[in-house]
Amino acid sequence: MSAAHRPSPTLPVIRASSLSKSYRRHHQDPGIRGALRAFARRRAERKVALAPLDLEVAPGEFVGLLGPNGAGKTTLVKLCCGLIRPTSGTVRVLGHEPSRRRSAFLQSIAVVFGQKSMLWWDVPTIDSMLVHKAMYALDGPTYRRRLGELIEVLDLAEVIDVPVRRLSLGERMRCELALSLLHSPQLLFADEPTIGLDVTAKQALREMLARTNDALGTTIVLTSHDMDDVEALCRRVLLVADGRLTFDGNIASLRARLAPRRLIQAVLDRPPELADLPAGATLRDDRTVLMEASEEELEDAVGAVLALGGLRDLSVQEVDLDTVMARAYAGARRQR
Amino acid sequence: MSLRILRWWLACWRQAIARDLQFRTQTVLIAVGALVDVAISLVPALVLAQTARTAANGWDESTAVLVVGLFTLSTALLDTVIGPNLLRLDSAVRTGELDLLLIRPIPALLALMLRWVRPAEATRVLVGGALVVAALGAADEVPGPLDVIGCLAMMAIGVVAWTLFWVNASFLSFWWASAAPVQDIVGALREAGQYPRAAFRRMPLRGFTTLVPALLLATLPAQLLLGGAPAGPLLGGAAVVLAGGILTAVHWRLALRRYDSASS
Amino acid sequence: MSTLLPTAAALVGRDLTVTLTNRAWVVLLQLGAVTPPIVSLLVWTGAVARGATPPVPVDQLVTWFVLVAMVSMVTSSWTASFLAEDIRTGGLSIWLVRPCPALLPLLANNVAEKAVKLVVLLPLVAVLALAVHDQVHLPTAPGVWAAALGALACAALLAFVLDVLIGSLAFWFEDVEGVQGIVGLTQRLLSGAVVPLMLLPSEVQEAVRFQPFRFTLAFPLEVLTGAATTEAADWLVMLAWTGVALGLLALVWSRGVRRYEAAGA
Repeated sequence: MSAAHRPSPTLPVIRASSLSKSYRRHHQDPGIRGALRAFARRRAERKVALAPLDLEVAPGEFVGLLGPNGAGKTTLVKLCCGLIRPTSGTVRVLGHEPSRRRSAFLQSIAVVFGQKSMLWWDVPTIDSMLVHKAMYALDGPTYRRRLGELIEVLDLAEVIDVPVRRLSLGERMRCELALSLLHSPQLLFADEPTIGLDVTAKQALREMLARTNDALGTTIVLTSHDMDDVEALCRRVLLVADGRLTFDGNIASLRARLAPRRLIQAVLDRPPELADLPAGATLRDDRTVLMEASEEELEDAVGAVLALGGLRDLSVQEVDLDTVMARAYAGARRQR
Repeated sequence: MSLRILRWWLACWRQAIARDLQFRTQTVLIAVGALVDVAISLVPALVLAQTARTAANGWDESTAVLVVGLFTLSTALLDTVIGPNLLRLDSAVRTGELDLLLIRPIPALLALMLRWVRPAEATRVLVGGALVVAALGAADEVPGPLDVIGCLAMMAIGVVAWTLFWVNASFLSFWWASAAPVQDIVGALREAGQYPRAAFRRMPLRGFTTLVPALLLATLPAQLLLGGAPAGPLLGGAAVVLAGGILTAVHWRLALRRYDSASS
Repeated sequence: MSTLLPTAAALVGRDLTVTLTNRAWVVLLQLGAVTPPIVSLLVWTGAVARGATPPVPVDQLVTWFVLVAMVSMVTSSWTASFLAEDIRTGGLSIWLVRPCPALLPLLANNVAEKAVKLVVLLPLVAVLALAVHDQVHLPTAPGVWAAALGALACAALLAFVLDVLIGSLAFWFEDVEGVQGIVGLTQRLLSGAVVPLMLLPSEVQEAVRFQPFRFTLAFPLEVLTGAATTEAADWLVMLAWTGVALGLLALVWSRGVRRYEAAGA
């Protein structure tokens, strides 16, 4: 049996309170003079990687952590894994203080890094599993049962005996996921797991993650740049930009908050006069008119476009998620 | 053709020097490392010489330093020009980098052996020269011009002979996937060449002047410099070079054939 | 920690598998390891054959050269650059999130590779010993063997810890290679790898008697070949250096990991 203790269902898996992290960064002027000056007296600047934030993640949640590079989402994940210590505030994960890196804590979490591999390169995945069996103190029956489950759920029968260096990227990610789930962790951090995968592999991995969350009840924190990942998997989205938590809710409300607008696209049979265009409309090419409108303005906006005459095609869509995110980041920056 | 090859080789030199000037710290470290290596190799030679003073036909410290000095000169040349190429031969074969050489209009074997140059190693030439001069001064020997010519000719033969041995040993990479440690073996065998002739009994002497011609690098040249008879060693060395050349040519053909059949 | 031993065993098992799949590489590597002593043997016995008189009995010298490859391999360590790279690139993180001390896989790798190398090296050294068998004198008293094995174990530990300490410099400095090079050269000289310390003039021997590198190679060999200086003081100093190294490692490691901020994603 895994040594991890099971918390009561109401205890949050992650609880952060005024959690923040800042670094001291030294500035050095270029060249020899700069180096000498730095030797004598260094200009230190405090860079805030994560401004104080409060967060609670309940058991079984599937949380997406979104944000541009350098936003602080990796810092947040590392604080929760115990890789770095907070500058101020507290964070408790599964009832433990992560930076203490107690064995009981480490045995209840798992991390999948998109860029770094946990698997040993020159042996088959099964060998890495045997090492984890010892590391996480799994007894024989538990190990075999778990292995069987994972082979089935993640479709590993063909790849588990193959040396990892011979696997494709998609197969390797499935094996990484399997290795990380072997000890039935209560909490899984997935850091950009779909990076570099092709569409089919991404789809497959997403299914695996969803199944893990559904069937096994594993709490998952997913960091991703890929909006499709987040949209497909995460019921809850945290937006981190410039070290601040700027949004905490679901995708739909994020969309609603930021882009409560529709995009009207009309293709005409002849180029319209610029003077005839309704206010706020733009031309994508000489015959295609684009116009954004809120829900209230929608009827009038469609009417105005129809009035141009010669309509060949008309579509009304939601503003797409990437645009929503781009505006969210820009909005966060404007707020500072 | 040979003018083109020469111009190509000069271009390789220019590129290497430019690169070394750019990565100055690394260059300095390599140069300093090379000097320290010389200092370290003096230790066993001197220790042995101290013991060997009392031997019949023994030798003293000045002879030991002379051999080490000549050895440093020969190996400086080897490590500047040949070493950088042979040390990366293994990975060039395994990664298919060899293909890049084979499609060029320079004879592949020459390109293989001469493409890369490490000018930083050449600093040892100064040290070697200093050691030779110091040794000759300490022993109060002034070699005649014929002796010097004989010595230089012997060193040239030795460098070529060792190059051929080194190349053939490195070709093992064509036959075996994990032949990289062969370079350690070759390097260790080369160290035999920094001891005076008197340290070798008959069988090892034969071995190290023919099959593994380490003694042609400095030991025999030192003998010639100090007035030894030149005919025997020079002719013998030439024979070794000839045999080695033929072996290398055949081995190269076979190796290329294997390389072609192995790549997909 | 009840998982420590099984985890160590699993890690060693895995490293054994990996090393065994690179058999040819191991064989060539060990051939490269015996070549320098062979060259030294040829040269020294050649000089002796002409009447040279080394400062120690010839048999002792021959036994030294026959055994040095083995002792050198057992006390070798190659971790520093791999550790430094892991620290630099953030690869250390994959160990910090697992319930396993990050130094354990390094130790397991060291032990496992040496086990395979030993099996390969033993016959090579045996052949060498046979070639000069009338001049090889191994100790007969079991007490001496026990002492030698103890010294060997201590030497291996000391060498490993020193190597890890050098690699750990990467927690603070970007470029560890320069330091590694200098320490490596110093070690080659002062451990007796370049030339047996017992051949150096006695003043030099006295000067280098208590420095730590002597105890990573020369000392166990001196015990095995019955050379002069193996008094109580030497044993005490060896244990002291090993203790200091271990203590330093504990300190450096805990400070270093705290400083470590995993690079990249």
